[in-house]
Amino acid sequence: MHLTGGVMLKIKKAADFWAGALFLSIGIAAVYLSQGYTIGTARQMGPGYFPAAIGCILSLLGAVQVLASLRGSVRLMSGVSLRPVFFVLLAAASFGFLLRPAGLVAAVISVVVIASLGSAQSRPAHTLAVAVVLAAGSAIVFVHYLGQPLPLVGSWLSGN
Amino acid sequence: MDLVSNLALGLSVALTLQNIGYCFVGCLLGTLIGVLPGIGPAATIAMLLPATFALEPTTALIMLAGIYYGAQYGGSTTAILVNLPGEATSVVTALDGYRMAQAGKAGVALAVAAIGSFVAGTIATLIIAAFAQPMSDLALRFGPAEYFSLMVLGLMASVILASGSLLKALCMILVGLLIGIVGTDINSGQMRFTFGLLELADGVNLVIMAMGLFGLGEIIKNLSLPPEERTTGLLTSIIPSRAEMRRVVGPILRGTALGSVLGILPGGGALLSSFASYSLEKKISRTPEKFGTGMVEGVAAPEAANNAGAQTSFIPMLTLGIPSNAIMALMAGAMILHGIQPGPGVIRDQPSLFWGIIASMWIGNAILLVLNLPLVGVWARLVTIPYHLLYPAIVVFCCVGVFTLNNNGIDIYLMCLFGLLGYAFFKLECEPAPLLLGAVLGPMMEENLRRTLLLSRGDPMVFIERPISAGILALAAIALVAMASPYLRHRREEILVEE
Repeated sequence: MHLTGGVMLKIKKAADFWAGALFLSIGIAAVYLSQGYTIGTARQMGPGYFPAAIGCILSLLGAVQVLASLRGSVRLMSGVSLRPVFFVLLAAASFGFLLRPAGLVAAVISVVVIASLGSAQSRPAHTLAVAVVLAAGSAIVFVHYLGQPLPLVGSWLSGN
Repeated sequence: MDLVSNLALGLSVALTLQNIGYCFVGCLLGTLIGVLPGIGPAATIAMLLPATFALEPTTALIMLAGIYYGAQYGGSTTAILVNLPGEATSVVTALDGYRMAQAGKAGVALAVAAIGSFVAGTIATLIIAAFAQPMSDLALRFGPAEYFSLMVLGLMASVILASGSLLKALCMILVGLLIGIVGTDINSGQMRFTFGLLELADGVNLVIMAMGLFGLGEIIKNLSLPPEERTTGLLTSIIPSRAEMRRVVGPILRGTALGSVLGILPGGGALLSSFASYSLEKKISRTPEKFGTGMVEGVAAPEAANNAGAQTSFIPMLTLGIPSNAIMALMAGAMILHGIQPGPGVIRDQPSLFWGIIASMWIGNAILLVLNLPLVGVWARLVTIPYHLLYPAIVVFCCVGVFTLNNNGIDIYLMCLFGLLGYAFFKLECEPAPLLLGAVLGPMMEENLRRTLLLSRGDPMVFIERPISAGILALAAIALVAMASPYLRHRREEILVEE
C-alpha cells in the first residue's frame, strides 16, 4: 500500500498503521466536537475542556503510531472476515427491530437463524432446533420467571 | 475486636436464607455461562447483570460476586478441559491443566483448582476484612488531587498489564475516557457527544459496551478463526491422591500470598497474579523443565493466585471507589445502577451492605467448592457443545440482556456498534479491557481534575506539591518508564505472551 504526498511511503505494520489512523481520527473528531462546547480555563473548566485535552493527546499518540508503523520489518494483516461480521451484527440488530412489532418468540428465532448464517458449519436442522429451544426457553425464563416486560407476541401479530 | 464483630455483622447479613440462595444461584449461573468456551468473566457478568436488577442492592451484589467467582472458575474449567482459555487469567492454567486432562487427570486438575481457589478465597476474604477499614480511613483524607493521581496510576497500571503494544493500550484508555464523557455534563447540565440522541443523556451504558466488545466482538473473532479440533480427555479420577495434595500445599499458599498482594494494586487483579505465581513456582521448583507437561503445581498456584487476586481487587473498588480492572469497573457500574456510590462512604454509611458482601465472598467460595466437585462431569460435557450451536444462543442472551436494561432498541444498535468495534480492535491488535476501564473512570477523572484546579486556581503544580499525590504520580511515572525500557519490555512480552 502506498501513501502519496511528496515522498512515497510504505506501510510496514498494517495493524499498527490502521490503529494509529483510527486513534488519530477519533482524537481529531473529539477536538473538533469539543469546539461546540465552552472550553473555559484550567481554573474554570467548561464542558469542552477535558474532551479537547484528551482529544489532543489521543491524536498526538495516534500520529506517533502511524509514523512508527512506517518503519521496521513488514507485518501483514490477515483479511477481514466479512461473513461473521455481517450476520452476527445483523442478527443482533434484527432483535432490536423485531421485538416490539413481532414479539420475543419471533425475534429470538430471527436472531438464531441470521446468526447461524455467519458460520459455515451450521446445518439448517440444527439451527431450527436451537431456535425453537431458545425461543421457548427465553419465553419461559425471561418473561415467566424473571418477569421481564417483553412482549411474547408483538403488535403485528396480535393485531393492535 | 473490630475485625471479628465486623465479620459477625457480615455473616449475619450473608447467612440469611435468601442471600445464600442468591449467592448459590449466582455461582451456579456464573459457572454455567463461564464454562462455555469463548466467554470470559466480563462477558458473563455483563450478560447476567440485568437478572439482578429486581433484587435489593445487598442481595444483588452478593449474587454478582457469586457470578464473578463462578465465571472465573468456569473459565479455568474450560481451559483445563479443552485448552480454550476464556480470558487471559486462565491462559496459565491451561498450560499444565490441559496436559493433565489429556493424561486422563482432568478430574484431579479441576479438583485441585477448586481446592486452591477455596483456600485462596478464604485467606483473601480475611485480608479484605482487615484492610478495608484502614484503606477507607485513608481514602477519606484524600482530596480531589489524590483521587486524580490515583486514577492516573490505575490507568497506567492497566496499560502495563495489557498485552501487546503500550502505545495502543494508552490510546485505548484515552478513547475509553472520551466514551465516558458522553452524556450530560454534571457541572453545566449540557449534553456532550450525544449526537442528538436522548438515550445517551445518561452516558453509554457499561453493560452495553461490555456485551458488544466482549460478547458479540468475541463471537465474530472466534468465527473468523479457522474451526479448531477440540478433544476432551477421559475423566478417570476426580479425587487427588495424598501425594498430589502434599505437592500442592506450598504452591497454593504461595499463590495466595502473591495474588493477594498483586490484587490490591490498581490494575492488578487476577491476570498478573496468575502469571507471576506460575513463574514463581517454575523458578523455585526442583524440576522446572517439567512445567508445561502436566504438573499439578502449575494448576494449583495460578488458580489460587488468580482467585486471591480477584478477591483483593475488590479492596480499591469498595474503599476508594476506583475500579482496578475491567471486571471491577463492571461491578462498580452495577453498584451505581443499584444506587450505591462505590467509595469510602460505603463502609461508613452502609456497614451491613459492605460486610455482608465481604462475608458472602467466603460463602461464595465455599459454595463453589461443593458445587464444582460433584458437577465436574457435567461441565466436561457442556464444553463439548460445538461452537456453531452455541454462539447463536450467546447472541440471544446478549440481545435480551441489553434490551431489558432500558427497554429500548437503540441500546441493541449501540451494542452492535461496539461489537463491530470489538472485532476491529482484534484485527488492529488492540486489547479492549483498558477501554472499558477508561470509560468508567472518565467522568470521575474529569470531575476530580476540575475540582483540583478550581481549588488551586488553575495551577497544575498542585498535583506534585501535595505529597501523597506526588508519590502516587511518581509511582505511575516510574512504572511507565520502566515498562518502556527495552529490557523490561522484553520480559513483559515473555510473561504476557498469549498462548
